[in-house]
Amino acid sequence: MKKLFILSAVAIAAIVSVSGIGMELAKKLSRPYEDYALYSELASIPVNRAGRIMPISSAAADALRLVSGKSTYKDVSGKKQSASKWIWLLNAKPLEFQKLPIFRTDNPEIAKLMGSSGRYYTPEALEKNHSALIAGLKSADKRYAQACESALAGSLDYSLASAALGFSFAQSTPRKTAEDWFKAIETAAGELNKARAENRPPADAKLAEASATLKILNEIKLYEDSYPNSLIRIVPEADGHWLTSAGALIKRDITPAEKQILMLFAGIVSDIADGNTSAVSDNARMLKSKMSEAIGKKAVLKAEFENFFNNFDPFTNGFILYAAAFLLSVGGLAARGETAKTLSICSGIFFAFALANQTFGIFARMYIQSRPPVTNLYSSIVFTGWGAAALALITMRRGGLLFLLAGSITGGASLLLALNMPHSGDSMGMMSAVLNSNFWLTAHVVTIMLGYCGVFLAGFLASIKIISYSIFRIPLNRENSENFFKNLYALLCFALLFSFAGTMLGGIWADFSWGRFWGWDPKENGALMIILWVGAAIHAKTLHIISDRTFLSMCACGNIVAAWAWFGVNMLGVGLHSYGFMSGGWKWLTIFAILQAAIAIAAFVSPPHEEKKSA
Amino acid sequence: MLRCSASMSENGWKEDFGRRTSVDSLKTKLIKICSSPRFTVFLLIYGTILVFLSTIEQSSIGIAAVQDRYIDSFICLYPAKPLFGFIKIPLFGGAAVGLAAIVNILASGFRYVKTNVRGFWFCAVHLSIALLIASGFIQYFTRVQGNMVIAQGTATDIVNLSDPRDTFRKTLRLPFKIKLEQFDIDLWPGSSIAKGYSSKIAIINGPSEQHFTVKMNSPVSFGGWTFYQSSYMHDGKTTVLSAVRNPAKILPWFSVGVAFIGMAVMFSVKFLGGKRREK
Repeated sequence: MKKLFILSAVAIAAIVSVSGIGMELAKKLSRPYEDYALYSELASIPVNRAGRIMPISSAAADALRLVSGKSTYKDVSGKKQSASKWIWLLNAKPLEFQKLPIFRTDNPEIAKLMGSSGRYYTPEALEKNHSALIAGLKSADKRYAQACESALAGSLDYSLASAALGFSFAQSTPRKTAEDWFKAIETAAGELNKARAENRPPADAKLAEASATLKILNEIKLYEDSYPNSLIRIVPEADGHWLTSAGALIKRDITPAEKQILMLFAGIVSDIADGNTSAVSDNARMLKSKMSEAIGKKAVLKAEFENFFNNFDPFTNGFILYAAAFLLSVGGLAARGETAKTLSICSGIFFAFALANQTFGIFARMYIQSRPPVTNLYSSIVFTGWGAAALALITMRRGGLLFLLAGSITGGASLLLALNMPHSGDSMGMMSAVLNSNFWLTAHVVTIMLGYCGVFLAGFLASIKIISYSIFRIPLNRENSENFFKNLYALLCFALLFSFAGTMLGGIWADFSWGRFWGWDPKENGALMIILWVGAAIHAKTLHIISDRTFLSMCACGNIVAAWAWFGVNMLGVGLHSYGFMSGGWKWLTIFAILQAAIAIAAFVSPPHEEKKSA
Repeated sequence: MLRCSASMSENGWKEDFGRRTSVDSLKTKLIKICSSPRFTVFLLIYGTILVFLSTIEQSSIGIAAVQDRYIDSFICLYPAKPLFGFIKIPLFGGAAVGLAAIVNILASGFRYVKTNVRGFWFCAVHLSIALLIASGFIQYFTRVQGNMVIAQGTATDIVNLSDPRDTFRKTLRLPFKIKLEQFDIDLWPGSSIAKGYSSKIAIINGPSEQHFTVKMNSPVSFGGWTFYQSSYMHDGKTTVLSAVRNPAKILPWFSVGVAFIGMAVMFSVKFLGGKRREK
């Protein structure tokens, strides 16, 4: 019976892990092949967005997230669809999206303005109320003005995305638009040459079409140049730069290779628009081979891998598995005897699979970005949760189920937080100048994050201990209490060592790059607070001036200090570490701090009912 | 004196001082107060709170003012915002905490440390922390920072001092001149995100002229001064370099290095070495 449970745990965990890839495979097998190509083969074509080469699926997901807050969308029939399908269909048949509620707003007034009952509204409503939004920018209600601004930004991203893969005039397809344009400039150039040879002024009629189109294209180029980081660029140039579809059309001396790639994109979009899906697959393959001639096979394979990573979705899998591990270990704590043992083994299995998923995700991102694991707030969350979970696994032998529980909380919470991060999220953007140094990034940021891992794991362990002892009065006899405190203390020492090293390496980096070791920047203050607080807990424990309860309480408060250092200071909006700024989030931080404070106080609420200090 | 500090291990201090109080001199009493473990923990917790309060203040009065008021001071008045704006709470400032920490560390070392390997590492860690704090005091008095605004093709020797403490001295002249030859911004292809900034400069020292490139993360040192790429103006026709003279630069680097090695040794002996002994 026990074996059966364990085997089924392994099977379920494995199935969850490959669910993303499995779904792709199922699509490939169940649908007609042309249809599959439309959904998936087009997703891995490399493009450039915000300076990074990425598959269309990533670029589309970034754009879609800015528009709707999510990286998938629901079509008219309510079915969930991928971001890459969205961008191809949007380019091919923009009118079909006019009535699809895809823009998201969290402001009820804007939702009312758009005539929407929920959070989402349609492009049609947006078009109709565009001027009202612009007027709203000047509103005295600051919140409303801000919501108008983000609605307008969403509309901008939408319009940029809708012509990204193939520029076309209304009532025409991108292929036709491009062919007409190239024909028109050929005619115009021929006429100009002829006129020069015959020494006469050129006939205006033969130049008219080219000059009219040129005027429009120039305007579009000007518009695009104002938003360089939101554009999706599809045509690689020989010097490593990339062009948008409109940019490639008006490039004066476009090379045959560039023209070919441009026309392949335009062709695919036109074929989708015309319903001629059988041609799409061949063109997609041709486009990929042209791309690998232009940017190298390695870059194309990397985009292919990133697309695989997007489908695999290791962080979502990891979250589900952590949640399962959490529930099972809670069950394991509540149950007794053989059941408890089976539950804890099953929990361990889910935990291991979750950790494996998260590990794969982190390494995949490192490969895709060619960067150390932590580059922005998003990756710092994922990495810290991972590190704490891994630490829990390492120290678990001596601590048992509590460590599994704490590990699944940190791992799961990190992924939940990361998956729900608004907008900025998982875009793997390029690093701004000051951060463009792998050595310092690794040394400073990764080290400090390892320190956070220790603080959080110790904090959650202490919180669980407090909750189970003081509130639920669960006598944790299975846990060797002395060992538990020894491990907790060791974790704090680990945390102190790494946060000290990371913070001071940051000081040395700052001294090296800006000429000051310490500037009392909010982020530096946060890091210093962690060191001081953990140092206080360690000294108090070592010098025996606090009881075990107070020690647990201090560990639980460590979570508040670390959360403040990590997120709180970013919300103040002052200082040098502005790359990590985030808006909102105060609410969640406050809730977290209050909960942790309540737990820290709870440590003192009930009298010690089994252990007296052994000193 | 060292004999009375027989043990830093559990409860050793209680026994030692409980017995000897009656015969202790004033000096020993003083050491006893200064080296109290409760004092250590109090300082650490108080430090955490002070840093927290100053960080909160930074969003309203700015980083430089907070440093001046709460960190570089011995006593400060903290406004009890937002509920009781008119009440000001007197607090010990950062300088007082730093000084107390140094005293606490020295006195504790004097009192507890044994002359053995463990005592050596214990001293190494804590003395280097004391040195780190002390270097803060030293740099407060010896470090000079300012910025230089140089237009392309021109040379200057004027440093605009940015330290708010220098009220009577706004600028300073270097013994040499710096000429900006060219400023460059390097962008990631296909974006407006900067990959790096750099200034090609020539340092004109009397008749000699030396050429350097100041880049982000790659400063240039000359004649006791170090120049960092800080900013730019006029579409890159003017560069802003920050200029720093810091004779005590090496102190914090050294002390954090020693403290880290010491902590790493102490913790690994404690947690990894101990396991082996148990077996």
